[in-house]
Amino acid sequence: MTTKQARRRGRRARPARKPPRFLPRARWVRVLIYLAVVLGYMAVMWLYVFPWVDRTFVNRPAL
Amino acid sequence: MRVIRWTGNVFIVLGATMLFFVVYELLGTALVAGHHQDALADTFDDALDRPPRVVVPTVESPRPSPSHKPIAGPRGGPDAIARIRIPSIGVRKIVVEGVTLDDLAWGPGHYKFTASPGGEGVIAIAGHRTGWGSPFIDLDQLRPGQRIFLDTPEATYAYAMTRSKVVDPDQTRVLLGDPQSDATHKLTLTTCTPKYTSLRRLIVWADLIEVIPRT
Repeated sequence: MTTKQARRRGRRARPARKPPRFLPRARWVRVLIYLAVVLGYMAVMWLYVFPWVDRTFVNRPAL
Repeated sequence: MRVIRWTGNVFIVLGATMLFFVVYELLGTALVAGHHQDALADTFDDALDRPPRVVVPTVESPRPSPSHKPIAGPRGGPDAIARIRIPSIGVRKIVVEGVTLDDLAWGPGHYKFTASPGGEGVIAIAGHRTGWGSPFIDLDQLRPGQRIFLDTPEATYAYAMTRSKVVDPDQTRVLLGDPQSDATHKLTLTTCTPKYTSLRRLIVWADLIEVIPRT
């Protein structure tokens, strides 16, 4: 067996490389928790806080 | 170092929240009010398509029949009483009965204890300056003599603006109409001023000058 043939054989024997992950699994969980907190914060603001600010400080056109 | 980082984070959240509030105030409320106005316009236009319910009004007797009733609004919404048009500042909205903030989320509102459109005395209407479709955002640009129209199933009532004034929110006497006017049929419009605050009220007064009966 020549050196070249030995190298080829060695390459074939190597396990196939997995495609790189965008984020590791543990990081995904953190991202999802972060998104849930942000969306919850926005929902509370939109549904409760902003209407109160609007009614109290911005819009009271009637006498 | 940690304190500085957290302080920075807090300010970033506050800034983002303020930007989000601007989106809510200018776009969110406008979308809701737009849907409300569309629903009101459907029922109001249906009422306009029907023949007038009353005797044809005239300038001397603008509202001869006491049978003027608000037009039933869409489900869950207030009744509609007229369409207000101010061509010089691009206003064209359905006026609802009542001036609570829930009513005004649908459009300009009629003070219930004041006259109905064309009725003797003063009809008073409040509208948002900013947010909720901003119906009266340019009310300060209205000039004396410019027309304000109120369309009802009986007639179109044309008012001419006489004066405007800025008052404190407790000055309810302005609802009695322009004290310098001798007209028997008057209109008062109220909204917030300065823009984006509710610190004071901008008042616009007008007198009835013409009645155009619906045929």
